[in-house]
Amino acid sequence: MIEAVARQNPGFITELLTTIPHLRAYARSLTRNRDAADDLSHDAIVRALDAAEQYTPGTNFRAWIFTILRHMFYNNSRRNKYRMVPLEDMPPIESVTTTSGQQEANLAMCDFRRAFWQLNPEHREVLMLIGAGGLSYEEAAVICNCQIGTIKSRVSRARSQLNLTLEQGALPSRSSVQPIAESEFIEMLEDAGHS
Amino acid sequence: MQTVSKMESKPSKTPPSPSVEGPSKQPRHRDRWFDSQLLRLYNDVVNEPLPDELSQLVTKLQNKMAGSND
Repeated sequence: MIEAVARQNPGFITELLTTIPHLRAYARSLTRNRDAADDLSHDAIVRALDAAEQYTPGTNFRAWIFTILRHMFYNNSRRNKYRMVPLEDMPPIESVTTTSGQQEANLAMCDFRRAFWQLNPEHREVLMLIGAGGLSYEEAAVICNCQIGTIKSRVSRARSQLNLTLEQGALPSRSSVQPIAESEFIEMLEDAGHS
Repeated sequence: MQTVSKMESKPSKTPPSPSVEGPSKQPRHRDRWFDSQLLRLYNDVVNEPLPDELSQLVTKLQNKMAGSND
């Protein structure tokens, strides 16, 4: 499979290799878990290689493979394959500092991350795609299979929710954050039109 | 990686270092602070080493690429 793709369309492999780190970041925003995100990324890469003939060279490769990954996440969530779990692998604060300003910044960053991981997957993904990944509203709308207005609205609501959580100080401790209940998650999928 | 550098290349209008001050009450500054935190979070994941399974797959892809270029 890989041989055939490499022979027929080497540019595809180049784009794939460049995109893998971003694919992992997007998968992490959906699954909220390192291992599940890497499993999902791996499966999406294999699926993309299988479907390489369907990709039109010169079009947006990142949007194409992100869409594959997203479909796999939502299609398999019901079977619990890439289930969301507690925040046991929330990215660590990487530096220990000594000045009070830096300590304050680290605390603020830690609070931000806890608030971010508490958002629902649709809010996390739009912030990750647009706020961090640098995709346009149009590209995000293609990936999420919805209108641009819906994406803008999700971004706005996600920011408001982050702000509310941070202002109210309603941050749970790491150990108290529970996975989203299955019923709640199914309801959310149905609301989002994935039923 | 292009998009990340694109975002990093426009700090000229950034208010006093958001990474030090924390979120501002002003919406525009607050959103910039959110974006800076998101970018940091995103880059942390992007720069993480690959797990074994993915790493093996990448090596296989790179080898096939090298083979197809010969």
